[in-house]
Order: sequence, then structure tokens, then C-alpha cells
Amino acid sequence: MRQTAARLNRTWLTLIGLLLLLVGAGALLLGTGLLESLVNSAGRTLTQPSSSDRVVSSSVASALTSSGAAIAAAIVGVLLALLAAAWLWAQIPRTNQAKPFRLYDDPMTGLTRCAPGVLTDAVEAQVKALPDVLNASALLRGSATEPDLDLKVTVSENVDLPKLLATIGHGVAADLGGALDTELRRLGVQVEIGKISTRNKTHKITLDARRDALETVES
Amino acid sequence: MSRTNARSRGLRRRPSRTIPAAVVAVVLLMIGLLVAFAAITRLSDGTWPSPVAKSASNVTTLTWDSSATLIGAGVLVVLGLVLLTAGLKRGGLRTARLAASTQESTADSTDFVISTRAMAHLAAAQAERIDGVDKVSASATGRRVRVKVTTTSERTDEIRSRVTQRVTDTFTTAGLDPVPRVTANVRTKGI
Repeated sequence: MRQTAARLNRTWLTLIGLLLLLVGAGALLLGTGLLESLVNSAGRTLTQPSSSDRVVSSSVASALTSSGAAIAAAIVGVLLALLAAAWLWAQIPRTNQAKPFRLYDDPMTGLTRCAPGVLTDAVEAQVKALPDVLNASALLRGSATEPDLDLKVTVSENVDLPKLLATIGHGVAADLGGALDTELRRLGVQVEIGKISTRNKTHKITLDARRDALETVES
Repeated sequence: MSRTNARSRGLRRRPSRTIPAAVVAVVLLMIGLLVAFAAITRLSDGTWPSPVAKSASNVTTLTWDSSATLIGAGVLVVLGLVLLTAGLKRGGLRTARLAASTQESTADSTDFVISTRAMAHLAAAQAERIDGVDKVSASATGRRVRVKVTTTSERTDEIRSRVTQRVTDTFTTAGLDPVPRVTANVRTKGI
């Protein structure tokens, strides 16, 4: 239910990947002499650079020792670090829950605000009370007139899913809509299954069987 | 760096590539900090830090056809391909759609899903209830569920058929749309 920076990640990974691929492929073509033969086969001649040339020419190397290059490197380094830190920060999944709903905004009659957490707590309590539900978490987005509700419901493996979804879709959504005096714009439910605990059940059966056997021997 | 904070997006999402993105971001952060530190040291002391100066003098001697350049270029090509694949490959869905009648909901639109992890749990739980099954593990994608069963019975074909049928029935009853293809791999436990 939390939102991640999928588009941002994919865009930057693609751009950086493309850049590395182009630089690497260019250096390989140049180093192996393939670029020269490709250019020659196209009917042209490649004068500079050739595969025996230095990667960093002496003029570039001497320019890098200047103070100007150091200033430029400092600026580029700081910018790169800031951008990378921002990208890293964006990896934290966000709930992006709605801001407090403004239910009544007329100053003459009074302002009424409602924190979405109050409503999601009530929704979670209602869902947790349903049969076979082990846990629930709710998230409200949008506005008071057009709310979106996302629910993550952890249920036991014995759950009747269609019945549970119908109860949530009809009962829980209607109750929340009634509280806000509107209809939900969207209801999202993600179902998770709680951990299987059949091992404990098996142990119980074994113990009972042994007890029965002991009782039979004693009698 | 901005992130898309759209309103509720669908619950059916593909991998957001958080791990490769975080790794690349950390690498870029380290490079940026090292470059900035070295440059600021050069501006304050008048000389580049000795590791930087030594590395720079080594790089200046490199030619395009030297083995170090070719190896470095090869590494860049591989890294580029990996990042490009991570960025462009869609990746599998981590949830499957649960069919639900929108008439039964008071909401304008509904989006009911079950995670593939939950599907695997459900399949394993159902398979474990079948007589003769000793040990179960299951994995699931949106369209396929694989159940691995260990049994002490010799009647593996019958157990395979019962596991497949039961898990498929469970998903059909649960309302998975489309119902994933269930395959069971039954292995007889040796003594």
C-alpha cells in the first residue's frame, strides 16, 4: 500500500545504464581498433584518437592540475552527492496519507477537521473484528468528498475470501462513506495470508493419541 | 529528484527496483563525496591528496589499447547492461486480481488483490491437508503456482492430481481472476 519511487528509479537506472553502456562500448571499440576499421569501411579516415593514444592526453592532464579544475570538481562532487542523497531518500516507502479532512469550512458556522488516522483506526478495528481476520491496516488518501481507501488485510488460511471481500466492500466501505457523508471513490484491498500453524495442531493430535493409548493401557 | 505522489495508484504493481537504485545511489554518493573532499583539499592545501595524485598519474599513462582500459570498458558495458535491464524490464506482478462484484461495494471502483506470497501460503496450506502429504513448499507468480510435495506414499500420481485439483479449486473459490495454473511436483521420500 505504501508508495515507492518506481518511475524515478527506472528512469535513472535506464539513463545511467545507457551512459555506462555507451562509454564502455565506445572505449572497447576504440581500444580494440574496431572503430578505426568501421570508419575506414565507411570510406572515411579516423585521425584522432587512435588506439595507441593515451586515454587522458597531456593537455587535459595539465588542465586538471589547475585551481579551476579543482573548483569545478568540488562543485560537481557536491552536486553529485546531493542528487545521490536525494535519490537514496526517495527510496523510503511513503504512505502519503491524506491531510486532515476539512469537513466544514465555513468560518461562520465553525471549521471541522478530521484526521484520517481517526477514521482508519475505526476501519481497522471493524475489519479486525471480522471472522478469520488476523490483522488489518488502512490508509486514506484523497479528500473528504472523494476518499480513497486502501486496506491490507491479513487473514487465516481458512478464510472465505469472497464473503470477506463482500463484507468489506458493502459494510466497511458503506460505514466509512456514511461517516464522511459521501461514497468512496476507490476501495483497494490487498489480502495476505497469516503463517500456517498446522505443526502445533499436529503435535496436539499426537499428544492426545498418546494419552488415549496410555488410558487404554491403564484400564 | 522528484517522486510521483499521485493519489492512490492501483495495488497491482511491478517491482520498483529499489535495491539496484539504492546501490547505485550509494555508489554515486560515495563518488561525489570523495571528489568533493579531494577537490576541497586541493583548494585549501594546494596539492591533491596523495591517493588521488597517484591514481591520476597511473591513469594518465594508460592508452586506449592497454589491457586495463579494455577491462575497465568491459566492466562498464556489463554494468550498463545490468542497469539498463533493471530499468527497462517490467518484472512480474507481486499481486493477483481477485474478482469481486462492484455491485456489492458502495465504492465507485474496487481493486481487490492477493499477494503472490499469500497465494503460495494458501496453496501450501491446502496441499498440507491432503492425506499422504508429508512436506510442502509452494511458490507463486501472478499466473502460475508451483507446489513441491514430499510424500512417503508410492502413489505419487494420485497425490499430484489431488494436490493440483484442491489448490485449483481453492483459487477458483477465492475468486482469483484469472485462476493461476497450478503444477505439483511430488517426490517420494526415501528411507
